[in-house]
Amino acid sequence: MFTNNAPEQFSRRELLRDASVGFGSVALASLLHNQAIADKKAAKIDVNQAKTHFPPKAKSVIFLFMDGGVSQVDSFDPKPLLDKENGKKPKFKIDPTVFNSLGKIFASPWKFKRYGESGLPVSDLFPNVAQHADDLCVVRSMTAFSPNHPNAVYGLHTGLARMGRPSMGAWVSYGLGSANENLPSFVVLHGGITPNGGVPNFGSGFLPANNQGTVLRPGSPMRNITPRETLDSQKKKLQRLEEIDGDLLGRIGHAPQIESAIRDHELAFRMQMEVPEAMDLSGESELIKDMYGFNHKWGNTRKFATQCLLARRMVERGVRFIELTTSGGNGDRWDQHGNLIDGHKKNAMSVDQPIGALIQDLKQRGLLESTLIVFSGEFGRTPFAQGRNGRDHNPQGFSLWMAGGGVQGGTAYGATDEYGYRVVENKMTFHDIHANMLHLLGIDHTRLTYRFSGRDMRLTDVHGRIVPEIVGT
Amino acid sequence: MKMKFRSITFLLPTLLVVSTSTWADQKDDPQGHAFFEKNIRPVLTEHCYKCHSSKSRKVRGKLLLDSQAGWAKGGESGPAIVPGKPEKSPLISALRYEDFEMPPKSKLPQEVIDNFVKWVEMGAPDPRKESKKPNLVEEEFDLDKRKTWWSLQPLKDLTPPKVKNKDWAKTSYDQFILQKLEEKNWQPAPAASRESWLRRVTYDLTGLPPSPNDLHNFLNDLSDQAFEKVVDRLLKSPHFGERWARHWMDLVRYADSKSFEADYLMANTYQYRDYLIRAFNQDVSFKQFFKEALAGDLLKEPRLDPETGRNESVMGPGFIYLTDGQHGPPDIHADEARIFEGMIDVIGKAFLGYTVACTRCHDHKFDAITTKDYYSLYGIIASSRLNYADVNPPKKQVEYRKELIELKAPVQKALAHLLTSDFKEIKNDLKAALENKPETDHQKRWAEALKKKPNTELRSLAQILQAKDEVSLKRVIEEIKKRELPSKVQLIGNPKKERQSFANWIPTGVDFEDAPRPNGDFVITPNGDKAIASIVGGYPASGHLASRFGGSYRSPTFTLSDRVSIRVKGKNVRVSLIIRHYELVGRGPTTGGTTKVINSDTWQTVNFNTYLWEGEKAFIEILQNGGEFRFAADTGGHVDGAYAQVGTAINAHGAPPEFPGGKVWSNTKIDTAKIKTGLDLASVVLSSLPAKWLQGKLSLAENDLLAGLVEAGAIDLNIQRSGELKKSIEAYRKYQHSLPRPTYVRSLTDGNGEDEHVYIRGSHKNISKVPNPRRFLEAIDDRTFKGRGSGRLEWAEALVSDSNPLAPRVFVNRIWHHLFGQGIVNSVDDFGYMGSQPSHPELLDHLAKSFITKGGSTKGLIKELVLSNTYRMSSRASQASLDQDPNNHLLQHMPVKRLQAEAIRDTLVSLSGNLRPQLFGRSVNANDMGRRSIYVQLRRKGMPHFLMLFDMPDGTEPFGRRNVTQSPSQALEFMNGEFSWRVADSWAKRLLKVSKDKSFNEAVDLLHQQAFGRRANEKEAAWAKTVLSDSGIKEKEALKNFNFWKSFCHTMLNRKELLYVY
Repeated sequence: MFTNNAPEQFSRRELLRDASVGFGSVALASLLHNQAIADKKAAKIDVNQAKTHFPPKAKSVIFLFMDGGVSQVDSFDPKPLLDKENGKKPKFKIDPTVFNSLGKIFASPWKFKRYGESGLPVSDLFPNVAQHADDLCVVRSMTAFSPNHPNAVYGLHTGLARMGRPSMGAWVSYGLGSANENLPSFVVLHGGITPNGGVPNFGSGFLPANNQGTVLRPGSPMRNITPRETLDSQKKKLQRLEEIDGDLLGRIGHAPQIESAIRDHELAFRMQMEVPEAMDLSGESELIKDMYGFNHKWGNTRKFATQCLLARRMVERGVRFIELTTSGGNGDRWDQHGNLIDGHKKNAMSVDQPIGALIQDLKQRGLLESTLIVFSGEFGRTPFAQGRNGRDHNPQGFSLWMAGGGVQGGTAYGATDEYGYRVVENKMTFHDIHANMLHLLGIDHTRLTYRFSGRDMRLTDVHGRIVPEIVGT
Repeated sequence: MKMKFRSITFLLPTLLVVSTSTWADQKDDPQGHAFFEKNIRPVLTEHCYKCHSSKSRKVRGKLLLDSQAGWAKGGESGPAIVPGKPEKSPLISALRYEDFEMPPKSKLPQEVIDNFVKWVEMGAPDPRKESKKPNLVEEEFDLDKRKTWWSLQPLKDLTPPKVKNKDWAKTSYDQFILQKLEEKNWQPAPAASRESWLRRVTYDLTGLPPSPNDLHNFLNDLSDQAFEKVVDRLLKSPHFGERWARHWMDLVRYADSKSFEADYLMANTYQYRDYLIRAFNQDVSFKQFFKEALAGDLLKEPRLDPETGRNESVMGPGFIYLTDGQHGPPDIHADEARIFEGMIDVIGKAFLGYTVACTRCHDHKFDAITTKDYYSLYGIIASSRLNYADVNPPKKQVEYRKELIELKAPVQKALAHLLTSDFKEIKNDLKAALENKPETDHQKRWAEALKKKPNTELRSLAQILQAKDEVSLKRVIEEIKKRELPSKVQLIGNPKKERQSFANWIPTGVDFEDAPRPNGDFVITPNGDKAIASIVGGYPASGHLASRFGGSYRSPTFTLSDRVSIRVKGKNVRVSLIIRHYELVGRGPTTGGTTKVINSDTWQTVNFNTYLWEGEKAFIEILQNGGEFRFAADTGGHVDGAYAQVGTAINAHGAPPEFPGGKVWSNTKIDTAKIKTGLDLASVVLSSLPAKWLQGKLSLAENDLLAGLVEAGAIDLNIQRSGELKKSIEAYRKYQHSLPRPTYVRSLTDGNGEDEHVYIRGSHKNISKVPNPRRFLEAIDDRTFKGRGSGRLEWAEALVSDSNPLAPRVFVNRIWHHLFGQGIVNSVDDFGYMGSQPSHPELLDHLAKSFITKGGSTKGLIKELVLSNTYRMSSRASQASLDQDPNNHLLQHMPVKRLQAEAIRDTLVSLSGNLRPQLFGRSVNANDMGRRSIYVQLRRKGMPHFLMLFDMPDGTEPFGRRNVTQSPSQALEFMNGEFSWRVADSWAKRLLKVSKDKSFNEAVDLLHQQAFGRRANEKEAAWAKTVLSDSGIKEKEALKNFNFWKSFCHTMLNRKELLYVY
């Protein structure tokens, strides 16, 4: 389902009859109701191989949201000049910041080392991730749409720096449907901190509501997934409902949307079985759990380890888009306006081992090549200090990395200036990231559209640049 | 770090002439050309030509860089290079990544930029003399061509077409529908059952299910008027407004909070929602409704609520500022542009069905809308301000005022009498105070006041009193005379004179007037022994008659320098600096200091540091009773005793000024025969005050002195001191306290009208040279507005004028859409090129025309439509229609409709038996099981889960047509959600209350009537028995078995029929 404005050719009944059963077709049916009709072929989504614009490299995306903004000069973008000018007044032009702060040059407290065959430099904050340097494609020329958290977070998620537009996960869900009809196609594994700007970041905006992210909190069941009666009595109830709802159809004659709604009982029932199974880690070996960090001394590491392991399980089960959010207790997210050392240390410690293990685990299961991992905050941080020991927001230049799913590992793309403040080479926006993400999923971002507000809306608006250095040719 | 944004006005024309000649003179400059060939051309070719050459696939910004003429002419932002002046050349600025960033991918190396600077300094020698034309010329915007679009054509007056089946075509609308069916030789679907029609019409008109009683009455009414009676009953029901207001709320992206980081609640949003409910219930005509929406605050004859007499019209514009909002935006102008875009989007779509907001950056790609239209509307919004208006009955307020003025006169008399007797021994009293030997009460007061000197008047008086001889008196007077505000400061509102600085300020409310209070006017305290709070002559004030008159006062727009200072006094006054219409004053790291609450009977100087926003447009806002007003949602904000007075306001650089006082001493003519010392002078001046006060002859300087004395407590104005005073004040207070408290609503008020520039390519940093006049959409009415105000009223009048066919077409189409499940134009918010074509264009025009002719009554139109035979059809489609018209454009049958989210929730609440019919009021929590969904609080950052699950819009963009989605999560919500089980529990209890007289079948039948608006059929009766047998409970015991019924009710709730109308 890539557009909702194709000419109408087939009746709903026909589509339902022809469509292979699955979430894809359910999404379709609901779209039909939205006056959206696609061509017949799009309806036939093979649950394992969605029809795409070109052969996909990735089938799923794991988005590791580093809420608050990781400092690029302390992680993946080494700037030796900062050591030299440490404590001096910045000589360069500075943009307005949220706090109107202006401090002295602040050298990174962490050392960088080169890793892997590629020799990609990574700071001491991420020793485990660094082990996979040859799988990482670091984009050092990121820019954000705003220096404010909510705007930048909305921009990262939806391509527009305010609330209300569909999340990238919703677009992926809309475009590809699910590869597993019994699980939602866009899942948020929630660490506890809702990204700034709130749940609309996982929303479906103008897209049909069934594309919105389903929030799952490790350790607690999904909303409405637990029956409030015995399974036997529920099954009986569903059976009786099927009988009597069938009578309704007989009376109306033609009501495909009701037919499809009736089928939702069955789907819901199966979801009720499969979601808890996917969330159940009891079958995982101690070895695996240890590798992810289940035995780590730091609670948030254990938490993120659970999220990462669950993410792998979701990938295995065909979920299209999995977003991981962070937990409280590490300072204010990655948002170290003060106490950079303490905050960034705790934040990195919370995610480094679990992410390292996730890459490792996906790799050993042969899933890394079909799973795109994206690690990013909403913006970076200033190379000069805020107060004595913090860093303010920096939307002008920062780093993210991608791994797996067909990205070019062991590479760094783009560059910031010698202070790590402003992009000077190959500027990238989140539109570009979205475009490349969709590209790897086999989708042409210019052709994934939804007619709304008199326009064929896109995740990438009128932007988006495919970068062969990142996604290959 | 200065947050200062240069607005670039690229190049003055004169400059261009000079510079043109400069480069023309350098025709033959071999050295320069060599430099160009070596250092400039290769860079242009590599980095710029892709988008800026005649061979570009698409020329960006209309700028060509492959010829000298190209850059000299420049693009959308004017000439790209000013030869010899790199600092004035946009190209250099762009290469430096200052305002634009070019090339966009990466900044060029510094040495390359240096070369460009050098080249421009050299006069930009360029051998490429041949001027070139772009490869692909974009199609020119041709308004006349665009204006031929169908939806812009005048409404046609059409006779309904002839049809064969005349019996079926009951209304003219039926004729249009039937004609198209007959063209295909189709039959319309048979009529729906009475039950089905009743359920359909009850939901469509009220959003609630019909009650078993409604059903019974209707089924038993076999008269010809049975259907009409039902419709009349439903249209009269107050629930009608609740249903139809919600449709409108979708369009104006209604929500209660601001989203972004803190999701601030907005004050008094519910008043707008309630206004809509009343407007639909009172069937306000379409034109009036539209006019109120844009300019309800400006109507000469506002519409008053027939019951309460309150001003309804003023609530109309309450939706405009229901925007999102973030605190502390780093670029406050960009934030305004973003927020205004949302407003323009709402206005364009809701009223015109036109995507006006698409033209923020460029003329419309397809429709007859230009960026000029956009910035014209932008200017109108920018010339208006958010206002919290008091809607208490305006006529009564005028009466109250009259009464209060009458009651105030005796108080003034009593006060002057008291003062006369107090000042009899003024010279002695002052002397005793000066010598610090006070004995009497008066003397002690003077001594205290002269010691403390709490204001400039007392400080001046003390100085005067120090003058022991003529020489020093003269010196002191000269010194006081010299005290003036620095001549360089800008007096906000009027650049000439301090005392007249209010000429252009804009008052609202009955009390603030566009003029200073008469000298000697005063504010009576609401209670206690102190007679008056303050003397408020000389400057504008509100609340001087009664605190229960709400009011606000706003300065004209001015451009900020680095400090704004303003003198204010009063109780519960809010003083804010509104920069670029930034609403969240007082919130955010940088904008936190832009508002202040004043509680002081002494003048206070409020200083706002504005260096971060130098050059931005702003205005000052004074809210009487504004203490807790903003963003403390749902607080009325009223405090008895509240008043506000505004003094001089200045906009200047540097340290805050001292506002001069004591002018009475330099103004008074001195009779040197009698006056030798300061004490002499003071005694003469002071002893003359009471009589002048009584006669209303105080000068401004004397007024100030009197005010200073009252503030300092130098005069004892205890009401117990005089029977006359006590009696008059008590009478005054009694009346004051009988007045209603103010009722504040969200509205607008006009500022000073200012044209806005076009933002080239949507950038506020790159604006057109000439401002863009304010007017309506050029394609419909191109006349420039001439009035002094914002132009909203003119815009509203153009909107509803007969020359605008869009508004009525769009409006009737919305009604049709809500009743028939699909619009005649399916894209209900887009009547432009990208929207859908009308399925029945003649019908649409006929509807619009007859709607207008009949006075634009929404209820009237709805009544006609739901009584039509088209509306009465069943949902049983014919095979031909299914095959040839699968989307049912021709309306061969009524579509099956999924209930809207609110109707689903309201049905559940009503089944639970907890639905309270209460209308209006502050919003409630989503878990409130008793109120209808329209009253549920809508926080943008956490919209109610249940309602969102069934496609309620998220309150960010206008939604004239909701999505209808369906997903297993919806099924799970009903299967396992807490809500459905709670409802099942209550519903079962409700049944058990009445079940003792019923058989099992009757109980089952009742539940069917309640849930589906029809009796249980035989199959269902049998089915219920099966369900019962599943439970193993015997029929006899079943009626008392709560658990069985709870489970049964839950099963009933999960039946899909609950969600669909057919």
